[in-house]
Amino acid sequence: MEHVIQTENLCRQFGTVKAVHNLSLNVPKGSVYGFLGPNGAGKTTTIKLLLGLTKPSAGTIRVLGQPAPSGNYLNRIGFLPDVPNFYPWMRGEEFLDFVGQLFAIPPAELKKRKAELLEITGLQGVKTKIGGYSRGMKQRLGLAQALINQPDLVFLDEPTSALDPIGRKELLDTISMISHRCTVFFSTHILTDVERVCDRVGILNQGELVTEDTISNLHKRFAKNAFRLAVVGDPAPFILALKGREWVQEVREENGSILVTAFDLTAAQQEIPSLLAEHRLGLGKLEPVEMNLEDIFVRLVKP
Amino acid sequence: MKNFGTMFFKEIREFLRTYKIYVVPGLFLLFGLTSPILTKLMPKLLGNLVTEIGITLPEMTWLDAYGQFFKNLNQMGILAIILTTMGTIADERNRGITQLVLTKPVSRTGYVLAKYAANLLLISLASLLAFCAAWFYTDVIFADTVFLAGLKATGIYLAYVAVILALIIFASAMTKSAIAAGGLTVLGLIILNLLPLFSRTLSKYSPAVLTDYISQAAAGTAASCDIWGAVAFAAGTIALLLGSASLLFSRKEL
Repeated sequence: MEHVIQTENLCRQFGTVKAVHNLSLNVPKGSVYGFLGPNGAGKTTTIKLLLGLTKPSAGTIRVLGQPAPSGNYLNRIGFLPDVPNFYPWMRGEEFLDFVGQLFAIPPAELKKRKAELLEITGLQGVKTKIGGYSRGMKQRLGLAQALINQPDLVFLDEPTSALDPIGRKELLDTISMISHRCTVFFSTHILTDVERVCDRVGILNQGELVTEDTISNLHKRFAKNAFRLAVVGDPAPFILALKGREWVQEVREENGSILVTAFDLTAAQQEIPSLLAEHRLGLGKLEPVEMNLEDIFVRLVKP
Repeated sequence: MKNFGTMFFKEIREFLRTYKIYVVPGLFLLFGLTSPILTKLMPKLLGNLVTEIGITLPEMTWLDAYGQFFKNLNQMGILAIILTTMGTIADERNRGITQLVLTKPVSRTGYVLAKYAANLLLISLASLLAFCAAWFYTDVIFADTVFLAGLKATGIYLAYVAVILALIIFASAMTKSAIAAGGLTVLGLIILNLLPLFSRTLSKYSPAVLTDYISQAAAGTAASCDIWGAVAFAAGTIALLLGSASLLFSRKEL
């Protein structure tokens, strides 16, 4: 698997504070990588390290196969900071022109890309100077400038934090759209956003990587030995019978169904059908209970 | 130096859009227009006072008008340059704009030098415009004004301003606030002005001495070799300041 970001034992220390500690990241090419962590976990510092805006205290970084910060990879990346700021006297379109010139994009091509990005971000026809933009508009302009060079890798630092629900949905749609043509490194603490667009996550806590995996693997790894049953008939004798089994940890009724937590899931799978038949009950529903990303996140970062 | 040109033209556009292009030349032009008139009126303005204390004021000449003009540029002009330029890097860094720009293919040296070059161009044009106005009015009010002497003095003034501007850019690159950059510039100016006290060479060639050569050049009494020596020293100081600014800015956390 080709990785567009690779860090090895990356550290960044500010005085005695370890903002990033022994961070080893591997971001596969073409993925939408959710970089999660509570506030102050070191997400922004990590992004700054990857972009060469700050230098590591120890460790190595490779971005798009080149060493950071000395490598020549800036023309192949896009970056949207958490609070994007621009020259307040410029207009949005002018800023895109300026950025396009920095990337030496030919004028005709720049005009085409600019029109497309202004439309995607809903900023077409806005003639106000950037100084008069709302935070949401700045965020959208920030996304447009991050994509103007058609990057291979885009860094988005908490891109949805300032947006209203509609703006957030539109931005997530845009991320899904661009994920077909580039790798997205997306830092956030809004877990629903991650579940919606990311296929792989890294969870950072107090500067250390707690886990890094695909979302489906995380669900498997943190799956509870629990399942939910709905039966047709009187469940009381069945529940009583369940409580007497060795493999049962806990049984309780919850919203008209029976929630069973087992010590041994295989034994449960083997015995449940015969128990149901013994009590002449029909099976309405049987489904495993999964931890959602929020549960996993809380479990991993809670002190 | 990557993207120096794009950053330079961005600065020029910023001067236009934020009206800086009118403020600095406008102020300098005001000095150019008023200095000869004030010089001419000075004996009349002070007439009553000097009669009472029994002093006779000499007749004012074109040389006095030039003197007044360059004195204004050296005091108020330098103050205006510091105030309008001290936030050029510090403010952008403080607002997070540098983060956005320097994650594009822009070298930090190019970024620093573009700021310096654009500001130097603006101040050079403003100074030349102001000198032309000063020379014209001086020639109208006083007789036999020597254009070339004034132009030479303006050139020396620009060498001095180029050093001050390098100092401002250095200070602005080192700090995260315009006020701190202004303070650091003033501190640097004090040090520059103290340098001539430390050795005979520095008393002849250090950048602060350029201000003495301005009036001497206007009067035609300055030795060319001394002026060129001071200008070369100024060029060295500029290179040192801008080189340090680029180097230290490259190591800055953004």
